[in-house]
Amino acid sequence: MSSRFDHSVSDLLLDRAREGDRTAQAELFAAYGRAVFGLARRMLGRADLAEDALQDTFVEVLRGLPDFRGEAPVGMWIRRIAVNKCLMHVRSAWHRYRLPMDAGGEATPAEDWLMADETSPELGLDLEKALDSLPAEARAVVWLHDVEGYTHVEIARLMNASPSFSKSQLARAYVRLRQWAGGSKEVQPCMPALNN
Amino acid sequence: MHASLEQLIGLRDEEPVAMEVQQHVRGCNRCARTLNELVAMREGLAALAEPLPPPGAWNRIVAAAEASGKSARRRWLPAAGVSLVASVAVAVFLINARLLAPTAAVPAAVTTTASSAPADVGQLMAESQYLEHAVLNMNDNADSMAVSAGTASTVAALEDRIALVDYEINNTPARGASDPKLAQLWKQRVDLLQSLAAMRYAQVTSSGI
Repeated sequence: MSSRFDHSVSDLLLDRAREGDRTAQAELFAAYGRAVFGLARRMLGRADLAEDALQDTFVEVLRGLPDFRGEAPVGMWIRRIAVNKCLMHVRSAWHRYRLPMDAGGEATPAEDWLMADETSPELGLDLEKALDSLPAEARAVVWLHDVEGYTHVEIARLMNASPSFSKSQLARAYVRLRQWAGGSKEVQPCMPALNN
Repeated sequence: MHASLEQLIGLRDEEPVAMEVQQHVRGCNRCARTLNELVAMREGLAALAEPLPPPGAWNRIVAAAEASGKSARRRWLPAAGVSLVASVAVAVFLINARLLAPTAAVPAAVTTTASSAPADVGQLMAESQYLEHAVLNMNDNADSMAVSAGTASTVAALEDRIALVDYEINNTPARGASDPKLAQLWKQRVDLLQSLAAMRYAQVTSSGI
């Protein structure tokens, strides 16, 4: 799965940025700023919080550049910092008042997903609004897993939770996304799920 | 009986899913349709427009970075001095961290074997999680304080190195709890987190918080 942070910049640019050349640092921002802001906007659900995360991320990038030795791609390093900044916002008081989704270990039956009338909604119709409406942790799991390609184990490590928490959040988030994005009716009661 | 959403998402993402589930989905129109919709939903998310950063964002970042540098210099302390304090403080920290994070249960042996021979991956992961939790607790205080340029630089370097180790861990195929390469990486992560915890502890205690 490709990420918006995958593309690279030249070693020369990186060297100049490391040495404090503001023009080179601005080019680095031009290369990755949009990806960071996009990640933050999707994970945090609000443009103002995303701008905070963007600023925090690049302040840390500028601070850390002299010590960045290029052992990992710079885009992945920046993404890691951005994800951590976003997760700090997710853990903040502003988000805490929002009820988290049920993090129970029960599998989510696929019937929760299916609509009563058996027709598919127009996916993408209001997907952005639906994503923004998810609880903060669920939204972060959805974006990290489905778009940035993080595994459940990696997400669990980032969020100090278990992989099953990540799986459960993702499944329940999907049910809500489907309902909200497609304007679905209330879901039907579930049937027992197959064991995995 | 139909597959759960977790199982269908696992199938979509080519993760290991029980054979009976795979066979069921192949023969079940309802599950197959849900699987197709899960694929479409993921594609829809990935296709969402990437918003542009607000105008002037870069200028504000530069201003914030420069302001951060100035406030750091106001409370300059020799980095070596801070390191010494940190070294002494680490033992105290490990005791206090237990009080700060009572929910992060870690076996007693974990906190006392931090720098000894590599343990298995599970044990190192538990220790890493415990230390990270303690560091996060202290970050809330430490981030709001002005610190010396040396401390800020050391903390940034440690966070940078942790990010690099994380990158390597994420790109190392797991071959079980005794995988020496993975254990080595987790050991590095624990060592770096211990250093970071010591720095943060020194910051917090030197400011009297």
